[in-house]
Amino acid sequence: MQQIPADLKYTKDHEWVRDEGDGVVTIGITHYAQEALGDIVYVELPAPGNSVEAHGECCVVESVKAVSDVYSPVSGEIIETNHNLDSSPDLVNETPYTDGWMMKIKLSDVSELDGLLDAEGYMIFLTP
Amino acid sequence: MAQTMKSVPLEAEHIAAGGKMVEFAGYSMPVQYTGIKEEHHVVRNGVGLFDVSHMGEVEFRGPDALAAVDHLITNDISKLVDGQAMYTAMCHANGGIVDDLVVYRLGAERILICVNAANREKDFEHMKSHKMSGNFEMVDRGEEFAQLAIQGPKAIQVVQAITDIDAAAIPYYHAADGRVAGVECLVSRTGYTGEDGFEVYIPVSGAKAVFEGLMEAGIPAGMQLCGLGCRDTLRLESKFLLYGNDMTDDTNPLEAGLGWVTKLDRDTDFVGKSSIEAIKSSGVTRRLRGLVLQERGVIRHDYPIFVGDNEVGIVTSGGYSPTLEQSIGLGYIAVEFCDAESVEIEIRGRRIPATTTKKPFYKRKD
Repeated sequence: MQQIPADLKYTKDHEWVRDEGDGVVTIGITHYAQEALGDIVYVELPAPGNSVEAHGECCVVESVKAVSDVYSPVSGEIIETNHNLDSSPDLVNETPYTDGWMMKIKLSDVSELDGLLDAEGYMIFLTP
Repeated sequence: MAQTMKSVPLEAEHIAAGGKMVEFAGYSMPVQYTGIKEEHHVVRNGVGLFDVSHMGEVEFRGPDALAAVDHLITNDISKLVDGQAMYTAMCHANGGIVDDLVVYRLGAERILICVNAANREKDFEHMKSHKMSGNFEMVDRGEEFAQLAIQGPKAIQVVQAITDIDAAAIPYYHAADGRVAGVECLVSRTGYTGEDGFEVYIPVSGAKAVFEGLMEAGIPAGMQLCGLGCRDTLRLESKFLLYGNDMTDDTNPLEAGLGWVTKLDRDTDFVGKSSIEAIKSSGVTRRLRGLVLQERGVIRHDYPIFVGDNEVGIVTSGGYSPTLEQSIGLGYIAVEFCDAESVEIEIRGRRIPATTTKKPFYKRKD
């Protein structure tokens, strides 16, 4: 059974987005993504202050098996990254929607949020 | 790829057990069940069960079987006694490695060779085209066997529980015929994990019975099913080479560090011998070295290796070591630089320091 929290937005690349208000979002990868990647052993986080484009690479996740890019769901400026992942990258496996968050982004265009999937849309997307 | 994947005899059992199936060497194989790290630690500390039925088997039979195999391999088969196994390379005439093999002397006129899954057809064709004349036959038995590997410090108690053979009496790199779960099998004390363990060659008709017998016998030891994912992390920690990565048709046994199984001083003019002798006298141009990344990140296949401004080599295997909790790898380094204690590996445009080593990253305590 897929875990898809109702209060988040999603992309077809399996990232999630939490609207924190004030034009700031927190992003991470979904339960489905972490399960497909397997044991995550390193998350290469970008430097705060960097800007990202929607659909652009924003972060690299290394699992035992392979290296994968994470694509930013939105455009904006990275204002904070989750440094707990430096010592505990497995948080992404264990709690992808909470302690496994990756970064906070200050949106450059709040309307981009409207183009994301809601929980139901993401669930339908995952249904074979 | 339009062609369909081949399946191993126990595929349904793997799927039922939650195996995540992936394509490997044309076969649908389980890459993991619960997770690569967990399965890795189970093998290091307890016991794991792997299906390696994708491996191929070729048998040479007849009065000249021994000589015929000796002609094809780099190692010296004359040293083997009945029931003994040996690791070896098999080379092209130019010295490039066709495959790495485990060769079993089942008897004076019976030699069984275990070959890599990806090389089954290539090896058989190579053996045919370099076949010496003599009184023997060469039989591809790859479809006759399932093969299960029981690996880890507790492997012996699991195997002993369901066989009539004295498992402890089989020395490392030896094999014995006997019944496992009532099925006549070849039980070999070999493996690809760096732990004690067994590889059991099972007639396909008995695969299910042996699998079920092992699963039940493994319960007291906490045995778990293990996939190809941890097979790779386990072999890399033990610095066992992987054909297709660390050895290819374009690498020779001397640069690959397989001089210890390349016996040039014997009389046999094995395929590739004169080329390897020439390489030995002129000197190799690169050597395989172990790499340990000194910062966070993961070494991967094909990443370039630098010393200062010089690009000196390339990574052939890389990954994460669950035992060391850091990234390790193998790579070829140009001979002028291969004794450098530290190098840099370029990861996504950044050069990250790594140390080099000639030793395995992990060695079990006996």
